[in-house]
Formats: sequence, C-alpha cells, structure tokens
Amino acid sequence: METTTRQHWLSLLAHSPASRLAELLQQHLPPAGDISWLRRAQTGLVMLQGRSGGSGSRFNLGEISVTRASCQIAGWLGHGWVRGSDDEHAELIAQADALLQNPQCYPPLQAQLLQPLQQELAARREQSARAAAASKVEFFTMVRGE
Amino acid sequence: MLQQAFDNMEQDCQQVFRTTLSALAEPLLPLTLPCLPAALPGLKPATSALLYTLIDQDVTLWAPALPAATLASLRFHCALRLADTPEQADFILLPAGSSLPPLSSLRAGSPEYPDRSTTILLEVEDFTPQQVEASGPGFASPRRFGATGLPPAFWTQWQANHARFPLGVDVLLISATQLAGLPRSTVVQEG
Repeated sequence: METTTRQHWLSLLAHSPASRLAELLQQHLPPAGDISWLRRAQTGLVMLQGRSGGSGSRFNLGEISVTRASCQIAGWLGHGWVRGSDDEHAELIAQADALLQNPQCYPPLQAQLLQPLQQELAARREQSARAAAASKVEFFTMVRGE
Repeated sequence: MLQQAFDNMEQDCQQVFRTTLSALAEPLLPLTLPCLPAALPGLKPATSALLYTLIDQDVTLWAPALPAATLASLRFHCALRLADTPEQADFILLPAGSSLPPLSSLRAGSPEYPDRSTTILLEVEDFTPQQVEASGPGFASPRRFGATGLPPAFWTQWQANHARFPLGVDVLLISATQLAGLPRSTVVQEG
C-alpha cells in the first residue's frame, strides 16, 4: 500500500463529521472483542508552525489540541489523529485505518465509506468556496496623475 | 502483534512509580505492585510494568536478546531506545537466567553527578529464602533478605559496588508480581 493512499484516507476521515463516519462504518466494524485497544483516545497539544510570508523562516504559531488513538484489528495497526477533543472520532478513524489496510476489507470500505465521504467533502468545500466567491469584492484603483 | 499496556496508562504508571520510590526508600523489603499489565513475551508482568513506567524517549535500555514482539511493544508504548553496550545504558534489563555484566564496568556516575549512573532491572524467581543480612539507610535495624534465581556471585559483586559509594549502580529486584529495591547505599553481609 502506498503511503500517499493512506495519507489520503486518514485526511479524508479526519475531515469528515464523526457522526457520519460512525453511521457509514457501523456495519463494517468487527465485534468489540476483536479490537485490541493499544491506546484509547487521549488529547494533547501540538505546536503549529508557520512560515513568515508563507516561505520564510519558521515560527511557532500556537498550540492546538489534538486527539489520538491506536488499535489493532486482525494484526493490522490503525492510528487515528484528529484536531480537537472528540474521543469518539479519533477511535473511529483508528478502527477505519486498521480495516482499510487489510486487503480483504479495503474494496467494500472504499465503495461504502471512502467514496461517499469524498463526495460529501467535495460538496462541502464547493459550498464554502461558493459562499466565499459570492462575497468577493473587486477593488480597482483609478489611475492617478496621468 | 503489539501488546496492550496498562488499562489506564497515566494513573497506573504513577502508582508503579510511587511503589518504586518506596522500594528504594526501604531497601530489600519486597513490595507488591498495585497494578500489572499483561506480561510482555519473555518477561514477567512486574518487569513489564516497570518498563512501561521507567522507559521513555530520553533514556536508553540495554538487554540481552529480547523477542521482537517485546521490542515492538516497548517502542510503541514508551518510544524505547536501545543502547549498543551495557556500559552506555541508563537502564539494564536482565531477564531471569541471563548473566550479569561486571557491575564495576557499568556507569557509576561521577563525583559531581552521582545520579548519572545505571539502574539494573534484575528478574529473580522469588524472595523467600534468607541469604544475607542487610543494613544501611532505610533500615531501622538489620534485616534478613534472600532471593532465588540471582546470578552467581551477585552478593560478592554487590559488596564491591557498595564500596564505591557515593558512586555505583542501583538494582531493582523483580519477581512475578513484587519488587525490592537495592540502592548503592545498602550494606550486605553474606551468611
């Protein structure tokens, strides 16, 4: 499995609402006894770094809270990281990550979990892009002097 | 497969750490650990509890060959770093039956920083028989102590280690569920 593929689904899962993720993942989850929780959800702080001017030297922008969880399902180790303090969301991502790495579970999850989430995320992004575009103001400057 | 550690990592580690402090304050008095995780492959449950508590990314551990599953679990839970030789390590783990490196060769600290020394986690079978009489700081009166499964000539080496005080190494003796501290200040007489 390529790293970028996994990065993509981890990003997608983290950007999706926890309630929707729970709804779509529910039917794919193994019985609770088959999930080995190596790390239940725990919340901590991560220092965000920025670059001055977008490409200059690094500076510490500020800390954000991050929640992480890790579990093992049938030998596959899944990690979930999410911004904020939603324990349930982090644990759902960890379970989904473990299942997605399993080649047998990937095809149904791709069709029934990742694709709908991807479409909904694209729709949300387009909606917010439209809302932003509608408020766009064109500035122009009269030529001075001549 | 990685192993599950404590049910509640922060609280359980704190309780085990408190017990370790007590064990060093009252040397050679076996204390039962308040909480035990599932044993790591090749180690006792109490040893696993101490490793989860004491090891982090800032210290190094040396141990004779450990099962790959044990190393993987320790890397996951404690960000374990291994030392190349016993002489470089902050902690030395000696599972039951492994041979003891010469105590005099290990890091004993310096006169300015006697704390920069090695701590040995030494697995023993049990604490029942009475082999030695121990005294020193932390003893109201001399107390008898013994452990089965100690490396040969351990007490002889210990006397040499104590003679270097305030330098020297400290030892934590570990049975399946119990722990006894042996700081370098403890005087041991055989027989």
